[in-house]
Amino acid sequence: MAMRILYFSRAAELAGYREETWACTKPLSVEAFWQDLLTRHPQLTPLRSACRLAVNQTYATSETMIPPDAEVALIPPVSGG
Amino acid sequence: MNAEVHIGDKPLVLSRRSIPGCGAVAHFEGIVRGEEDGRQIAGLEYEAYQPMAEEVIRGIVEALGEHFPCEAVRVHHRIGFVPVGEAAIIVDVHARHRGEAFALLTEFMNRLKQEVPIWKVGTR
Repeated sequence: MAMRILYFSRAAELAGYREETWACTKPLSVEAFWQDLLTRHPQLTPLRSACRLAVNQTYATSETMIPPDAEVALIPPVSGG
Repeated sequence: MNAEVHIGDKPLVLSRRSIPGCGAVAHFEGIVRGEEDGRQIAGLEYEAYQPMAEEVIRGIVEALGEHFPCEAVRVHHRIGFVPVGEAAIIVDVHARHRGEAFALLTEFMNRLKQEVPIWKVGTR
């Protein structure tokens, strides 16, 4: 199975791309996801405190378990309107 | 309550629609200003996590409709390049009376700017 990771705005700038996939076999906690993410992309560390995660297009909480086939989006502070 | 939500890259068009029984239409346009961070610009670039943004907008409208009974809400947000003087967002709220329409519109815009995954990503 593969987890699809989407990057927007400042997250896309720092990551250097807008989308990637991770091979994944088991659900991840939000904390474990961030640990994996920042190991792969330490340049995203400044976003950790301000950035929310969306899992399958719904905002995650600290208790959310991320399925291994999920679409996960990094949501930096929004600025629409 | 009826909610019409659209996010796209075409210029936004004003609606002159009226709904029977509605005595008020509160209308808001967010216009791109000619200056950003103290310098002159030609426009702003927006991006959205489009399917989620549309769902979050629908959820906000539905939740606000519980507190401020209105008949219909129309939200159109433009993405891509939006030139100075043109609208990045248009919101119309139709209600029986102005109080609910103004209240829903104000609270909707506050929540949009906190929750809806749309970003200004640059200037030209």
